[in-house]
Amino acid sequence: MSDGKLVKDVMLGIFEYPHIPYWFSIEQAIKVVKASFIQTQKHTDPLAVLVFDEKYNLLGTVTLKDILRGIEPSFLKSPAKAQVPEEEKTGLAVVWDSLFSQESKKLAQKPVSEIMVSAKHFVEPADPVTKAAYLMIHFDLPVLPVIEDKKKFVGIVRMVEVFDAISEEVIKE
Amino acid sequence: MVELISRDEHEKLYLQLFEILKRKIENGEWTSGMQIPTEEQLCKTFNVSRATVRNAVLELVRQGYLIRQQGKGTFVSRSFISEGLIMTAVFKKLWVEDDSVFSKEVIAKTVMMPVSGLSVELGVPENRHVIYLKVLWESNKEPSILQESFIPFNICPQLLEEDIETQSIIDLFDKKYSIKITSVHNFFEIFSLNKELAQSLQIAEGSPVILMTQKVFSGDTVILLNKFYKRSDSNKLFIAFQRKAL
Repeated sequence: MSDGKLVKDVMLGIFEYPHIPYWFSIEQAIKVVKASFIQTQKHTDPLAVLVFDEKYNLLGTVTLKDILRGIEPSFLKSPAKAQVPEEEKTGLAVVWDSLFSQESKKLAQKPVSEIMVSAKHFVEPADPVTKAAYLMIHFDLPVLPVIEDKKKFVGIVRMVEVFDAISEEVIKE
Repeated sequence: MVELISRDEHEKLYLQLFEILKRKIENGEWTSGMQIPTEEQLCKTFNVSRATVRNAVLELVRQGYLIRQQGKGTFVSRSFISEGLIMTAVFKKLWVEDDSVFSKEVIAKTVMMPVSGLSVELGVPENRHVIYLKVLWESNKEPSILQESFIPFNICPQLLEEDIETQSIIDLFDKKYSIKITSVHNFFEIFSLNKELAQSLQIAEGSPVILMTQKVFSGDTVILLNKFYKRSDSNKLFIAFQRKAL
């Protein structure tokens, strides 16, 4: 895909995304998500909130999935080597409902630093979109930070734009 | 002499007009009790819209320089300083921004979203980015005051790049970015600190502190919200008002 699109052609500016510091609680992150995405319906999936440290360095991202995982009651989390059949595992979800107001509310007071996905994988603006796709597939990342000259955080690529750019090449006649 | 409005400056037109008209009052070109020109005449003189003139005049009325009389017109106040503590002031250094006693350390300079009441205080929607600063003021190497500042990102994005350890935010706004401060409101209350803030001040969680909330305006827009948490120590709060000679 030598004449294909580059990361800089499809990335979004960082101010398209809400910013929070790592000491915000999950509850505060939920309010940010509701104010920024759900009310305005400006963005389509995947939604993410960017988490920064006190010196405004990017630490990681928080997606809706991370938030839900963060407020999921601990007993629902399956042990690493679960021997339980699949259908019984989902059956447990009913219990969450009855305990929702208690444990999840308590869990929502945890800082987002405990639930965020650390920013470990990056692309440069001049990288091909295929590199972004590779990282997204292999590390299960819905969004990927774009870093210029190895230090300046300049944008975000989402799976939807990566998909768009690559699928266009595939169906082109 | 007619002063002109500069269209290159980022400053809002009505604030420029406000300053020009204010100077006319202060230097006596417009004398007290005099009726000022009509909106139409002012539009023509300064080549601006009616809305710009109206906003500038309203701000002068709000600050007590002008008085509107229904059906008669707008007049220069006889004494343009209203009763109470509304006075003409110089917004150079505000309260703790006097480096003689305190040394300051910037603990945080980052960006956040104004959820949980902050958006109301700042008058911005919850989905607008806000610059967040946290500064510790120490005197005799002891933490004395903790400052949290919130600035709507669109007011001054460049602030993130500025060194605020050695420079005053107010000075930067005023001198470098031509953001004119027109008023400051201070609110005082007793406050008990949460764990995180208490740690920074090295006192026990729940300790009472004085909280001064300071809203800094440019026209009707809040451009800076400061929260100063002062612990109980040998330092006193001191705010001086000086009446400007009329």
